[in-house]
Amino acid sequence: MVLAALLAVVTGTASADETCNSPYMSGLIKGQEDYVHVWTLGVEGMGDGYDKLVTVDVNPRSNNYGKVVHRLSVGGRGEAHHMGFTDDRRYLWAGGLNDSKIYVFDVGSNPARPKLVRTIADLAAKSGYVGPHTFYAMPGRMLVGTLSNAKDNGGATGIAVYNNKGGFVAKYDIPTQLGDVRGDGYGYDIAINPSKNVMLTSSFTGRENYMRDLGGLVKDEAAMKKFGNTMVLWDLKAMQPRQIFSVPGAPLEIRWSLNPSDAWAITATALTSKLWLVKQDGEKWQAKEVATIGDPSKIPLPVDISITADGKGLWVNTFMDGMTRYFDLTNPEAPKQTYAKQTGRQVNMISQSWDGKRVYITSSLLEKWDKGGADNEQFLRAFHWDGKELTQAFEVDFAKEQLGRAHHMKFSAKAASAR
Amino acid sequence: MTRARGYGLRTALGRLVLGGLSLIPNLAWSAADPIPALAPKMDFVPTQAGAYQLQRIQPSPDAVLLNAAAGVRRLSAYTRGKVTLLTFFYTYCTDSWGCPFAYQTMTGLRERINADVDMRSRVRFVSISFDPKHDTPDALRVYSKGLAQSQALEWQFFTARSMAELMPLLDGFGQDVRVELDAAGRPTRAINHMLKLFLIDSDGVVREIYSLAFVHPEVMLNDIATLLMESRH
Repeated sequence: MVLAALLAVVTGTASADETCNSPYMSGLIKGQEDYVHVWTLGVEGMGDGYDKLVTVDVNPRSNNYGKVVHRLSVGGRGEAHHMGFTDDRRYLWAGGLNDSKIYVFDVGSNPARPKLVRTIADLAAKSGYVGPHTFYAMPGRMLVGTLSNAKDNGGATGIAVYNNKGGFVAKYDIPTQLGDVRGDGYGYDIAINPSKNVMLTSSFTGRENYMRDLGGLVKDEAAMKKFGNTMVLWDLKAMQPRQIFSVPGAPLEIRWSLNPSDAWAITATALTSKLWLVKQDGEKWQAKEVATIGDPSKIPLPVDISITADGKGLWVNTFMDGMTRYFDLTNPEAPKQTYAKQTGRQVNMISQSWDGKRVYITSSLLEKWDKGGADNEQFLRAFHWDGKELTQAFEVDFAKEQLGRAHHMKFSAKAASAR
Repeated sequence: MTRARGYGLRTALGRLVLGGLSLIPNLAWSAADPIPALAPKMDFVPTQAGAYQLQRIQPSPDAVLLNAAAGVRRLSAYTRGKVTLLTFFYTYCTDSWGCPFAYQTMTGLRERINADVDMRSRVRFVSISFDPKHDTPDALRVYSKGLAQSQALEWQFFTARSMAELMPLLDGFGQDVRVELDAAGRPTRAINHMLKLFLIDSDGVVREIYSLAFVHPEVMLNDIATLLMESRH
């Protein structure tokens, strides 16, 4: 019971890969990526102990293949979590869930050696939100999906908008009521579809929960009730909420099919271990459960998903059992699991190349939620995927390298490498 | 948007235009392509003009430019007082999803705006060349013939006296650009850029930016009308 309760709150916060970038920015990498940048949580006593952007050479033709080629500490430990490119792909924005700082790295000038060019520290002062999570590029600006608020550190939160130069532009609260439909006001991921003029948001939990030691959290019944159970559909142009969907169990990453002929998005619920489809039905949209991930009674905890470029397949990582699952999405109304492999003792993020042939996995969820002892592996693992089997290509041991907890990944490429 | 090896405009166009500068690769670009999903597709009824507010994204940057008559002008004189739709282009651009698409979009919008007596006097278009060397005022005059001289909607065409004067403007707007290289690594005349159209209110504030996936003329007209309603209030 206690274990189930404990497992039930170890929800992931995750997302990353080439098919999970905002597809409406320029320069998606369709060939061989050269570098994987890993936004890494600092660990006290491990190296300098600071959060850092770790750059790994992932081009098989390089002499440094599979090696860390650059590490850039930000001089503090603020729960490094997620990242997102600006629309021109020159800059990588990376957030800290605890200190609410946003670091802007120049990865366009020389992706082998990112540079910290700006630190944005006014999120709470400007918006009232804390816990910057998702960074989603729009033309000339960044949507920042947040997890919490400065007033009570609960789950009520919203979306902050900054221009690409780091100036605050606007804020939008996640709704708690639309007509007769009640929401929870919680936030997590953002994903847009310009051809439909819609934006979707999902919901997780507030800072009071995600920064709390897991052992104490699971014993607190009131706290355990403070997880998101909704998704919201927005009018993208107006940035106004239009529909609230009931999606129980902390719906996390949202992925639109990138197939131009599709008009649906998919998400996974961490606590209830389901895949949900959001699809237009006439003028209205609906969210419906379409598949089960593993055995929900064992709480596998799906924490990250990665959709293939053609919208026909979905990787799902489940943290607790360290499994990486592949679902056939040929019929998005009825996804079918066709492959599964244990890829670590704890796995969180999963990122795939545009052609789907390479899959990268990292290990860390949150500082106070990662497993302990020997199960606390910290790594970046690269795999080849031939459509039938994941074969490990290399591993970077983030503990051995004195780096920290490996979390979000983004790809970059240098000249002519994808020709 | 052409797929080719690319280098930063600062370097490659610097060599192309100014000569003598060494090439420093802008490494992040070349392995990347735009994707089919970028092509604009509109499968929705646009939100009604005036029913929403456009974000105040950033101030419109200023620069000293040359108009088609070789007159020296400050851009800020053409980004205030009216609602302005501004874009960067070069006259010999052939990328179907680049300048020609922007040109087609703007000429289509121009027809619609010209049909509205009230709107056409309160809106202007501004096109600024990426390439001061080839796009001389004379080249602009030929290119813009029949557009700039229109008696209806104001459409201004500019080039720059030098790349040095143009670059801060491109940076200010966040307009990325790179020069294609040939097989020998020499700069060609092809300038890759992410198509962007900037909608600027009458106070000179950028209120919307349309990259390719967002180029929906009906929405753009509504956005222009929304800003015009706002300025009346």
